[in-house]
Amino acid sequence: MAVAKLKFLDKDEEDLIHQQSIECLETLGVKIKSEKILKMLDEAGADIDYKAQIAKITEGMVKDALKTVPKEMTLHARDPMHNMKIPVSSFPFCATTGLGVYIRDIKTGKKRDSTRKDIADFIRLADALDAVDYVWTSLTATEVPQLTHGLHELWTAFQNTTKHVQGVEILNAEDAKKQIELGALIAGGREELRKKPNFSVIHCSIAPLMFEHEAAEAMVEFVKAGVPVATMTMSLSGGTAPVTIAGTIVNGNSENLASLVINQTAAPGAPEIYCSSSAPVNMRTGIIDYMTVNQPLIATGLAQMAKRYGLPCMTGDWGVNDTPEPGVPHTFSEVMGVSLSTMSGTDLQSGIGGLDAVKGGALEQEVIEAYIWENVRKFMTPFEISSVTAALNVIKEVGHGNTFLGHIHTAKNFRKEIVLRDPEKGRFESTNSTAMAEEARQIALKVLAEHEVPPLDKEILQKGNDIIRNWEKENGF
Amino acid sequence: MRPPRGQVDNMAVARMKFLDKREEDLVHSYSIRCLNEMGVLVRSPSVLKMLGDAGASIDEKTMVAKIPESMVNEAISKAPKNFTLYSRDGKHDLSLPTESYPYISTTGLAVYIRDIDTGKNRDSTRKDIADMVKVGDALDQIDYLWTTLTATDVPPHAHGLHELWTAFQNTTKHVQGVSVGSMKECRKQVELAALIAGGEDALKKRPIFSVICCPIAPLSFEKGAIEGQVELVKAGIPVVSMSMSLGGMSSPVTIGGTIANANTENLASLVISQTAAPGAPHIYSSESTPVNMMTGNISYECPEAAIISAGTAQMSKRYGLPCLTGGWGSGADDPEPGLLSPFSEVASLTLCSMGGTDLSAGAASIDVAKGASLEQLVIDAYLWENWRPFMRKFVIDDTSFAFDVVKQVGHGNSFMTHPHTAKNFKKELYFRDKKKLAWEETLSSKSVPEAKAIAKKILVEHNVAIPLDAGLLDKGARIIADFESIAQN
Repeated sequence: MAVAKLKFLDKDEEDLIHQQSIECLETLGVKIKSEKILKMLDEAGADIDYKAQIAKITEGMVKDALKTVPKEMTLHARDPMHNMKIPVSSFPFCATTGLGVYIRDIKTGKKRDSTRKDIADFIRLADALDAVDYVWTSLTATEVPQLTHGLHELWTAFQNTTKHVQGVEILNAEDAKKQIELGALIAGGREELRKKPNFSVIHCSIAPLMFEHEAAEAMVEFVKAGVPVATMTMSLSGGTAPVTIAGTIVNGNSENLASLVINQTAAPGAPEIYCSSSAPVNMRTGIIDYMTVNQPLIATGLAQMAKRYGLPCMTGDWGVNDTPEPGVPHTFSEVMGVSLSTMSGTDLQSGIGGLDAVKGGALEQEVIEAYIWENVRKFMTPFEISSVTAALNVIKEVGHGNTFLGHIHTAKNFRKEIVLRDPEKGRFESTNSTAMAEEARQIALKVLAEHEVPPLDKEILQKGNDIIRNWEKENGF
Repeated sequence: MRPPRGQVDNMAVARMKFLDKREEDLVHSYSIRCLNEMGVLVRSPSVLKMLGDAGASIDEKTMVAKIPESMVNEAISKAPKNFTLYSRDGKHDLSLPTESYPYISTTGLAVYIRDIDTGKNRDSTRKDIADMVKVGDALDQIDYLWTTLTATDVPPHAHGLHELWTAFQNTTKHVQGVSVGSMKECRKQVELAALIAGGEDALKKRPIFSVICCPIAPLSFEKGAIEGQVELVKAGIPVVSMSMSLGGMSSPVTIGGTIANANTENLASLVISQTAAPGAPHIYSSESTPVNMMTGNISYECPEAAIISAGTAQMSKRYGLPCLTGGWGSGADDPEPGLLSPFSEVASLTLCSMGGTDLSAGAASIDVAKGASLEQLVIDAYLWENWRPFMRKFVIDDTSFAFDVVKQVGHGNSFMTHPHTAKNFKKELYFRDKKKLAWEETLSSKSVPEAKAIAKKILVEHNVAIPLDAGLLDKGARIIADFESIAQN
């Protein structure tokens, strides 16, 4: 089957990036602010400077980690119909945005701090939309103690979708343990969760080449429990990485390899996902800029590196709105850049429903981006290339210079081979425009009124609430 | 800003790929089988005879030539793998294959112009061709010119000559003709170009024009067109063998079948070129897409157009041949200028230029290439300026890895203030022109008034750098006039 994908690096260049990453890990190393993890790496053969908190990682360790890490996995869903097997063989699986701090209220059109109710609405809408394959926890629960917001977000998400949930907040090892408990409640125990992880998490290293104490220890808890971790690098050209595209790719790759070594040392065979959300910094404003021409090229380079190692990856994004108003307020070539990142070879991507460079979210935006994605993913439809589809016998029957229109082969195959767009959705695809926002709003309101998600068992729900409540009490809330 | 094309090793360029190596091999072996078992219909006794003499199996009655694999291999080995499409002024020469984004040109052979003053459609004339080519000459984004419109004000059998001659007068860039009438007509095309190049030998060394020669899918060659092609390649004029395999109509509806048919036709055309003139420059080409099963119309805005474009580009690269497999024109299916299609349809058109094609054509086109508009030419040129940076080249080596800089910055710190960032950001990051962003609104014609003003300003102010001298103009006019009278008798 042939699938259209972008390529950026040639084989030699991939090798160069790999060699450069190894040199970087061996000579510069990574800074890990956790004595526990440093000790673990020490025992596994890394050269540790405990005072500087730097681990120099050997090529042998990277090789070992690449041997034990699984090359394919399933991200499970409460409803197995929505299980996701990665790597994908056509277009990537697509999720909602992650961790906006405000919602643009669908009734008033005003910005306000987001709550669990907003997360519930956001996720329930995603549950109903076919174009959304899994969910990120999407928004921040700002009305709960800071300490437990990640738990509330995860728990709210579980209640409002039967699709796979990917958490984007990991605070520390204790928080991780509680998240694992919540996942296990729904899976039916720790072993079931390990076998069929119904959630996964994003862990961000701090570019360049640094791991925070608490987040890194949390990551280790997750991999030990068999919860897949996407090891996200945010290598921002000119900010947290060299401004050159090559330097950005090397930094993103080095951080992913370092995460891989940490995780596979802690739990050999643990599922993890090579991950990047890297883009240049806007040199005028200092803010990360996903609308640049470089972003899809970096995504493609890193996806190629992931595939070089045989790892599933998440390097693309699908979010087309960096402003506070719903719509597609960007130009054609800007939206095209985001579309190209989905063609980077990434297996997973997120971003649906985000506003304002991921600071906010809107239900209307969720509908708009879901609809456009339905048409963009068609570029990655797999086609069979074989003697059957080449159809020499049919050509012989038709003959030189004649037409295939009346041949039965055309009638039999055109629906399979020619992708028809839904003309009803064309009007959603106006760039530089908010013309579709009102229609999207009506659709979102209708879904919220009508769509039901199978509820969690009452007893499980109670237990989950107790886990969070007790954790809050223990910490004085 | 024109992004760098450069000639350094370890340069990475983004491309859309569709087939894997094994699938490329499958398409190739299919084409060989098809040429061998079914052959191609060649409606020219002289070309059939030439192929027969070279080893093809000919059926004179059905006019079918079955081509053995050895002839294909020989043709591939003789065809030049890189060459230059020359320009009149030497400044706009196009070196093939490209290493980054493709060269783009205007559309070809529209039959009407949307008049820039009245906004009404009318039959196009030489004056319209002159205007269109002149605006293309002025626009930096346009690298070479197709003859763009049909001269409907001249005798139909000589329209190709008038179009070529008019184009030569209005640009110093390379001209690509889209009309091949007959052997005699092509001879006259060569004579016209030789006038400018300074003789036929000079023209052969530095061909200032090239020609699109379309087989008739599936797998046939018309007499006039194929004899014309032979005449052109003998004169050293690069030929672009454009297959128009329309899935469900002139090729199987399957994507695999459409790519395979386009590939087979290109190989057949290549065999004809290389048999007639071994070593002649030949460009692999396809403008193939499925037919809309609801309307029977050709559409380049469907996702498959981009996919077929990438697949055929990969096949040409497998053979090492320069190619033209992608279109560039954002107004393709719409009857009015602007960006009237939804995002994903314009995306199809743009992705056609990202599959590895070396040349792209289609700027100014409206209404599925039936019409053309000066406003659309300006719009397409501007959109291209923001699109081609996706395919610019990046250095991937120790200097760009900047490991020494990474060490200096240190774990968890910022590169913002390091001199390396200040020194390199303009080279590594592309900045869009904020003033032009409103031009990229899809489902919209907002850009048209400004585009119109730009086109009109160019028509008033732009002079083609090297006008043809009066004596030359007379000679050219005489060549055409002679042909008009001879062919009519």
